Amino acid sequence: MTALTLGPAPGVAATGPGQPTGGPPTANRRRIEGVGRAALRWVSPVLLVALWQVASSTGLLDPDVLPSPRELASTTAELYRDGALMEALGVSTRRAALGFLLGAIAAVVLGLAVGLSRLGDALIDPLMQMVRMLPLFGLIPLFIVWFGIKEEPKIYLVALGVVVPLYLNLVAALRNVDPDLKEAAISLRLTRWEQARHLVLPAVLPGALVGLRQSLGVAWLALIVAEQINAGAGLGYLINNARDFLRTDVIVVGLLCYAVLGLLTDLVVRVLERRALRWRDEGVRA
Amino acid sequence: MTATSLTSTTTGPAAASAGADPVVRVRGVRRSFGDTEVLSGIDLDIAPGEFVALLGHSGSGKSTLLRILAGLDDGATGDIRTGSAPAVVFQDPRLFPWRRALENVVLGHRGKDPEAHGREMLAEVGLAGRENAWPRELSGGQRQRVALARALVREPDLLLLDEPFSALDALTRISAQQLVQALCQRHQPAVLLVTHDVEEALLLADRVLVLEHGDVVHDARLDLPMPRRRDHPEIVARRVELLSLLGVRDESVPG
Repeated sequence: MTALTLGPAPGVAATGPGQPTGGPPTANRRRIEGVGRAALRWVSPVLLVALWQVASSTGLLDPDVLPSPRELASTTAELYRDGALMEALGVSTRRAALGFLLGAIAAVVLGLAVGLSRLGDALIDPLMQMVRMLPLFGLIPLFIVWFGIKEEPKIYLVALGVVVPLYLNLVAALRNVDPDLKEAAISLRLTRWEQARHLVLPAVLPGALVGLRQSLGVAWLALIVAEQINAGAGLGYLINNARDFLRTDVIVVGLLCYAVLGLLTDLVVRVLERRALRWRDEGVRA
Repeated sequence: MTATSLTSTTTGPAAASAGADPVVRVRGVRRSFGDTEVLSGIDLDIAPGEFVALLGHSGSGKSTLLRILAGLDDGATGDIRTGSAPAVVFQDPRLFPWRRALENVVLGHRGKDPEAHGREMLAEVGLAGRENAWPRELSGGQRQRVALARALVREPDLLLLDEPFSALDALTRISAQQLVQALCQRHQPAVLLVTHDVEEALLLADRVLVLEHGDVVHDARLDLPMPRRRDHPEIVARRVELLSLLGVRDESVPG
């Protein structure tokens, strides 16, 4: 360290309270505790499924009301084998993805316009506040009149559900970019592009990811509702069809598919969050 | 930076560069916020390599003047010539929390091999080996030293220090002041240090200004070699003088 020649400054470096002091033993114990806590979270779901299976096997639970976990597993396997499940999943996922993409693009474009320009704020935000107050599912009849009963109304409904939470969170995050850091960026003479990359984007990311998670939740919800009302394919169709034949097991499998899809997308966002917010988590742990 | 300031020695940078073009030259600078006039016609020259401390009560306009020289306030009127490459260290470090220490230092630095340069600078402020730390992993004093490295890596002709030590605890502050003194002596930027700490001004500066109600009411040179001792009779005497000018009577000094 060349700074050793500069007097007591390095001494301060050695005693600074921010130095990571936790040695391997602490880290290990923390990791073990973490694993234990994660395992603990599985206890109640596993117990519930076990109880459910017992109730079904003893005849306590009527299979027409709720089939046993084992039955659901074999129904799933059967639906998978004859291709019906994968086809339905594919159709529904495509609807959700297209709707989400459409809504996310709109939210980002509108959010940037509102968050970065005063004129954009004045012109666009009032409209978005109005859209926000519209009951999403109340629009379904209108969407059917406008777009028919094919794919379009479902995709647009998902898109509209996605736009609002993503837009709101994005605008709030853009407005909250620390003005002190903006000033620092100016004093460092960062270009606009550098400011966008090193200041605005990382500053906005946490809020944007919260918005992303919310809008994904709404996306699946909107899809489920839209598919219930009119569908010739997809998970909603599978479920509606099963209702007509009193196939409770297929209905439940369809519902579980929705749940798994929702969990998967949530997991993707959480991984993104963990990667994007490393600076926050690692900083706190030290 | 001119050649004269580079050749200047520890005998007093301002003396060595006397006659050279000043880095800062402002004439009749005014700045108002609404009806309140914060600066009412300031004249100020800062020579290359000169260390100027600007004292004053809060609200005296000293931070406003610094912000004008930093190019962060364009609402001022008057004749303003500031450094061609001013760098600022603020009261708080203002690091980008999502960039590691080294990235923070070199961000926007457009010299040759900025990374190597940044590493050297981090080592100079005593943070070698902490290049990959997130700002949150550093202590307050360490963060402020990263901010100092970030300012100096750009080789500024004018270094603007806006109460850079006031958020530090008393012990950290002393070593940070010594570090700034050593670094400024080595890199020889012109410095404007805004502070409300009289002793700090006297320990670091070649010249001490006092700002009051938007006017310079005191401007005196101080030609003592560095590093200075707090108990040097000249410093003690100046301290009493400046404190009384600021309207404070220090009972701890026998008068």
